Amino acid sequence: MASLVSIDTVRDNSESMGVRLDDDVAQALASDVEYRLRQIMAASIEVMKESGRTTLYTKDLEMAAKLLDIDPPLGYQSNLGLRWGEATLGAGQPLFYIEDEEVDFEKIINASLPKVPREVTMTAHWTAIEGVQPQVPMNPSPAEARMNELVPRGATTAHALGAAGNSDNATVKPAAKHILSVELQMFFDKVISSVIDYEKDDLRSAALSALRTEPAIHQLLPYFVSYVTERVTHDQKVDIKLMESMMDICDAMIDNESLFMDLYVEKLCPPILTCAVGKYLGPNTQDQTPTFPLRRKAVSILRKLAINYGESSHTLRSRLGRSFLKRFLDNKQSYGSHYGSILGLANMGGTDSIRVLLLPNVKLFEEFIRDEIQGDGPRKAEALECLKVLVETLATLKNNKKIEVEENGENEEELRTALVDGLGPLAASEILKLGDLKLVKILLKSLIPI
Amino acid sequence: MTSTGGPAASAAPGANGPPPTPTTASHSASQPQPQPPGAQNLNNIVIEYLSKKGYNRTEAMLRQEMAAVDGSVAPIRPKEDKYPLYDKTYSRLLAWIDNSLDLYKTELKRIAFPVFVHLYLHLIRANLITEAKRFFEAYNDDFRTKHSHDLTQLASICAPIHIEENHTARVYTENKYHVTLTTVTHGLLMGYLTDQASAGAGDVIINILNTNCQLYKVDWQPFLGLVGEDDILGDNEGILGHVTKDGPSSSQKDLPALKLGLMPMDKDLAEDVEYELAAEDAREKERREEMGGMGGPSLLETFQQHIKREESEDTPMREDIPLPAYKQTDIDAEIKAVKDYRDKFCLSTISGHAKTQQGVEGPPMAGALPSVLTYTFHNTSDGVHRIVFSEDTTLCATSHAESYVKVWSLKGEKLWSMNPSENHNVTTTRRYVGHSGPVYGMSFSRDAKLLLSASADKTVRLWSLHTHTALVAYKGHANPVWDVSFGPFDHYFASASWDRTARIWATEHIAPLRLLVGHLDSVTKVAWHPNSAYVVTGSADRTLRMWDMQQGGSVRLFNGHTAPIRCQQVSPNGKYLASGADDGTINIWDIGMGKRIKTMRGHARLPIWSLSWAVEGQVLVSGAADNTIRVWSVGEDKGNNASNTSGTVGAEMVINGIGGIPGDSTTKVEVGAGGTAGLGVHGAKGRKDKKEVVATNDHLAVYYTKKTPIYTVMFTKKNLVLAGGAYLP
Repeated sequence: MASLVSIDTVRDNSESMGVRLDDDVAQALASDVEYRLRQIMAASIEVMKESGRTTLYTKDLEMAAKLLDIDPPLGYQSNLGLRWGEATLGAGQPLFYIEDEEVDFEKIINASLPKVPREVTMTAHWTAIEGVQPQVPMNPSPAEARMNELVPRGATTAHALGAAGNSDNATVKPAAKHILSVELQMFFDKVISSVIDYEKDDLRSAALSALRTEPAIHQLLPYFVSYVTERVTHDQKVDIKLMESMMDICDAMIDNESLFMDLYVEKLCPPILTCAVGKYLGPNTQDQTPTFPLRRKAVSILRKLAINYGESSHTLRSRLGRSFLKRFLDNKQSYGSHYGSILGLANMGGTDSIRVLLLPNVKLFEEFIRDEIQGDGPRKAEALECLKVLVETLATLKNNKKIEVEENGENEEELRTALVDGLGPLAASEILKLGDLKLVKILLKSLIPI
Repeated sequence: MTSTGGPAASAAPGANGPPPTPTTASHSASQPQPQPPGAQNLNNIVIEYLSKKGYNRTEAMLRQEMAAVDGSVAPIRPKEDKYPLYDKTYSRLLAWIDNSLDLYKTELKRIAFPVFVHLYLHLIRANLITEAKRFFEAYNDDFRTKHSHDLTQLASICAPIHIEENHTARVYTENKYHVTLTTVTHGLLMGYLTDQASAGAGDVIINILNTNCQLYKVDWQPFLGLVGEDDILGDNEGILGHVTKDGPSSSQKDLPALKLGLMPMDKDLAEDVEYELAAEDAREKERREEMGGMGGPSLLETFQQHIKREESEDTPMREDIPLPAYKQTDIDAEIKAVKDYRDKFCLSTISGHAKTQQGVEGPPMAGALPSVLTYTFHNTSDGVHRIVFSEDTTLCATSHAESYVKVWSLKGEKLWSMNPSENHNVTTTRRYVGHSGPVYGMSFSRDAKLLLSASADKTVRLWSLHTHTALVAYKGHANPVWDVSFGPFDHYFASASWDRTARIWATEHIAPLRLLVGHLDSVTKVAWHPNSAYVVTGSADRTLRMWDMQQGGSVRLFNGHTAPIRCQQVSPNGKYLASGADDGTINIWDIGMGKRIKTMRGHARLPIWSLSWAVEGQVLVSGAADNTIRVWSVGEDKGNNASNTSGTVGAEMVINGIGGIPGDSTTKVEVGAGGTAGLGVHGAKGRKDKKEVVATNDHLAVYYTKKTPIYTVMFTKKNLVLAGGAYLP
């Protein structure tokens, strides 16, 4: 084993300090220096491991030196790479040395401060869902996992036989195949066929109640979810009844207490949202009123989802609220879509969201539908429905205990003008038709920007 | 089991010094008596005298006779000739081992290592540095897999004085190296050594075996009992640190009895909990009747069947471990535990059905794999040391090289303080400043009200998660503290340090209650037994020890890892221990027997940072520096070898290798280099060498991350896996 530190090195060093060493002494010193070096290295590796790292830094050496009671070498930082200089000592004998620049104090003191390093942040993602690694950007693709040759990576296959046998030509399967038992497959087919069969009502309700109570269909969950998604994507403009059935399936699954829905909430939301605020549902784009019950149902399912799973996915509620609000404020949307979004806003956040999100925008919306209602266009019925649901929603504000108004009245006429001013004539008149003075006061009070 | 004092009676009782030179050590009657060292000079004087006087014939005669003596016995000047002798003796031993039957080879190979180390140390001590290095270079490769850690340490020695200083060298000189041999092998070895001694060459080895080794003879059949894979240490092989009793710890009757059952519940607490659960059940029933759904088992049943712990022979006494009286929060915690237990995602139910014909439980099937949620930390520039999650999954803490701890809310809630003056600019994170050195281990209390942190400033600090301020600094360790862990009842905690001790503390005392001394190197990790009566420590000396919390003594020693321990966890039922080491292996131990059940391989040869057991104790998940999270099936090993002896894994692997071959033509091409199928397993391993590791059979799944070493994995009470890592681009 060639020693790391040669006698010459020791002698050169000692001579630079004006000490001449004998060969024996230099030899002994060289081996001792080497030993110390190795000792520090061993300790610093231990420190590195304790720090959860596999890269050795100068701070590890510093710490190791402290542990071994050696004065730590100062002035070296991990972030500053050491620069080596090279000089030639005559016949092709290179001499390496560390470039040790002399720096002016002034310069350091007056230099601009270094950039503040970026704050440590945290993100979360699913690395595996029931044993299957989802292909999201946060996870490496199988190819990436394989290609990263720089890092030693351990066994790639999940089983010893596979590893021993096919280590090189192992084909990467995209996802583990889920094998369903025949019974479960039959159950799935039966439920689907019964639910979309509107003739036999008892069979349909039996299927739905099976979905609602059966504890052992956990494995089918992803299939139902993807079935619903697929049908909604393809048939939303074809068959309203089918959409309603899909909503029934969702509803039943959410009700089933033995299903672990948390993981599928994200996947289930888009199809339900589509049914709630889709621009045109069903085959008839001219008249959307028949789709309104479907929208209402979809919104109530979303409400249930938000209540049941708001805790496990804490941004769910706010995301739903945001998408409703976006629809509501978009005047390019159909009345049906507005209908759904008003309902959605009312249901997502309770009276608070009505007050904060809906109420300030009522006047704009009223202007938007006023022409349609006062005219006699093909969409009058839809617009009227929207107005109705808007007023219904606003009326719920009176249940808000937080807003207090004085009981004894002011001038009714004043209130009326204020209300028309705040909500627009149509909405105001609808509200006034309800004949509830307290509600009017609450609305007026809430209209004042907070 | 018998313990033999020494291998050969002929050897002189040796001291720790250099071995006697062969000139003085040869005892056989057929050999000419060796000349005392002074005789050489005398001869020279005589020869000089004879030549001066002109007695040429007499001088020639004398020279001739002297030459004969010199030729048959080796050296006159030991300094020059020791090396060839040692080299020859050692290579002869190796050749003999190599020529012995395969059946005995594995065992005999174990002898080689201590002999090698001590020959090397002898050479160093005799100041034959170059020879020592040459010797080391020539033979150290044989032991790289098993002993690389020690070899690196020993390689650094380059002067006699270093032997006194070097930690590893001292471990070898001051302690005996334990080797267990079966009767047959023992006999063979003795035979060989006697042969060698009579040929005048085996003395050095005998001397080493006498002074520096402890041989144990067991009455097992070779192979059945003791075969291990080549790179697995034997059960009692190696230097075991301070062993209190003579004899290997494997004989069960010698081991101190343990009470591994879970801590019985306080009777009043159990009653209170049952009362509350009954009420909860009634409410639930009502609700169910309304909804018309059907329910699972009631909470009360779940509690009584699975959670409630009653006193039995196997449980520690409550009186032994004083705990503060229970509070309402304890009741709430128990109730939550019951609910979580009932609602958990079952990992083992499916495996319950997958029984093979012999009634042996198969590994859990793919459907039963857990879900893993990974929290990735960015912009850390490798400054995050550890990550821990609170048990209720609301909080997470990271320890930083810059001497602070940071607490994160996992739910995105703001971390308000109970102290109003602390509440300005409240965000979802809090920074705890107080340590004066890099922070390492941390631990949340079970109720997520307190946090402990261990630091290089030699202190352990207690922080309140209610006020987000420091409460106590526990001083006592003499060196940096690597790890700290709250006990199961939040009252006690344990810490591990570079000063080779672990300490047990109570939160209300500033001085340690117990000092756990016995490890030969830095203690890296501490973990609690779930019944709070024992603490398990892992060390850089590659062993794990279990300590009795009451007595403060070491009650079990788990020896068999070949690299420093990085993490360990006791299974939820308290019977098994899982440990992960620097070289990417995970061992499962039976605590009662003090023995290894199996070794699980699959991670790259990089440290395993964290392990966690699923609630049912059938599945283990591990996170490591190779940027993967792996899932393992632990299932009780009642398979082919019911004898409960170690090393069955190796045999299984080979058997499986053979089983996998027929019908798979690609495999044959694949292992062509290996020749036979059985060799295929080893062949693949040999070829890829240190790059690729072949997974053992119980490796269920692997999940890769994007350049994110996983610092922590934790099964929640509902069997969801939380993982934490830092993204290092």
